[in-house]
Amino acid sequence: MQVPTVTVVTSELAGLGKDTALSQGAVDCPFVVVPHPLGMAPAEEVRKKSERAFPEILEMGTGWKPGKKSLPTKAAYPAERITLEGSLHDLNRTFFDAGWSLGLPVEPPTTERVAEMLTGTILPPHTVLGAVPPRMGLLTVELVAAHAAMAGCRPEYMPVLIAALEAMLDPRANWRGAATTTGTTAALIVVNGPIIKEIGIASSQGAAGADHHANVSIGYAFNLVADVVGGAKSPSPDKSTLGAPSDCVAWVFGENEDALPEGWQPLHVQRGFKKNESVVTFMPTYPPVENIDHWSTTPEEHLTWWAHLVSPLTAVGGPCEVSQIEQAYIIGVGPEHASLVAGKWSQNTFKTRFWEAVRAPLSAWPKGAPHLDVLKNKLGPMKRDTRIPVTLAPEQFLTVIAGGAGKHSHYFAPFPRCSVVSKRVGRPGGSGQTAKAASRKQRGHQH
Amino acid sequence: MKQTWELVNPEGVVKVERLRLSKRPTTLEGKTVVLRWNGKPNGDVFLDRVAAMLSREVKPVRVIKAWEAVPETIEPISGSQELSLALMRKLAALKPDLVIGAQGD
Repeated sequence: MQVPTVTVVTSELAGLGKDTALSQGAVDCPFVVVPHPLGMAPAEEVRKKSERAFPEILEMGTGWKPGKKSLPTKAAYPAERITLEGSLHDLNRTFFDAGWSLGLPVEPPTTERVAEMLTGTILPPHTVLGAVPPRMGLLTVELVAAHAAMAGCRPEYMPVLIAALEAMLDPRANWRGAATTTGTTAALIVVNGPIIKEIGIASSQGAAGADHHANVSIGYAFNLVADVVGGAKSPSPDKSTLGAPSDCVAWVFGENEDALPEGWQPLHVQRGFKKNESVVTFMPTYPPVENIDHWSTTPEEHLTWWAHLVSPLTAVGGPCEVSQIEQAYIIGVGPEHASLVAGKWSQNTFKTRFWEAVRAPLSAWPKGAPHLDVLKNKLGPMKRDTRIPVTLAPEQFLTVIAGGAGKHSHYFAPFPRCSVVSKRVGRPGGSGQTAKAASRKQRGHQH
Repeated sequence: MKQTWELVNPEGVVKVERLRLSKRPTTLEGKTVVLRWNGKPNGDVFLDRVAAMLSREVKPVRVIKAWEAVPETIEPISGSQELSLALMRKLAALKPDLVIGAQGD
């Protein structure tokens, strides 16, 4: 397949376009950059931009030649050793200036600290977990240990961090899209199983917030890897319009399995794992929508609250990306809401009723929304008042008992084309993996 | 307090195969140009104008608007290498001498 191309991008997205091409091996690529934006601009203005760009489009289409830049050829392992002189403050300044931190302070990844961190995993340090998009930096276990050290992790956190990174590297997770979008996306990492208590993952009051060492340091280490190795840096190629603190510390919490209503399954069991397995479930998410229902006394009332709070338009998928109707969504049900709902409904009944209630009329779709024909193919004939569901089926809603006391639940919508990915946590000396399996890479049970 | 730090460089290396981009025609006269819109708002308006100018400035030229000829090539977020390749194959099936794509918001 050999076809010459010319790519037109707006000025705000030119860096992302060029970085993406470079990460695919296209050292030079024929781009024509036009002033941002095209979207939401009057059609006449867009046509004028087209006319002004036309001579360059023609030139790129017939006269462009690649330059002579070369690609780096260093080995992934061992990572380069560097010597720095100065104070901790100086080190942090140097790291930030080099693009090796997020702006928050880091602990120095000394060779000793990295070696100590490697004791938390049986994976050899040379193991390559994958290439982290968008930069496609090769992620070795040694590098994971370096970032874990920088984030202040303890060695025993390594298996959870590795499982989360493996999930992110799974192509089904589409991390490239989530890491470079203009949307406010971040990593959502939910931990299930015995590992929660073994390493002290917080799973109750305020679990996803501050003051919980394992959660915070794993979330920080995850984002260090994504930013430094993956190169997802703001303002380009990470094009997030506003960004969020979750770009610094990812969402990490354990499911409150102690508060699971009778008969309800924890997230990892919904994903096909056994209850006694330790599992990390990963999804690139938009900021959650919070349900603050303090008043409902029946599941039906509570559901009405949800129905007015979220809709297919909560994610871009409604108007733009019909594929999102095939994805999974995560409902972080607060324990008190779960108790209310489970007093009358099974977990599946809740999902079905949620699916039936949370809809938006077709009239809410913008006039220019693409793929309406595809939507009609999937859902059948529809009129302007036809109520469109978030997903094709109720079971695409996954529930997780999230947080502690309080009447608050959280709805996590995925970025388009980002599947929920779950990975079993391998533990040194534990049941998650054998040394033989580890030598093949940590490719355990996955969904 | 100043000291000497022996550190692991956390950046990691990038290792990708260099992609050889195909040669382009020296002229578009007598050629087929495929215009590819990814579905982002107004990209089609931009390319519609390109189509009109191509037809006016280059004669003869065959212009195919992929979003009309193969609507499934409208894809704001392909999501994976596999899907991107599938999309490219659909464009290549139109036998273009050049593809002009408009991306971006």
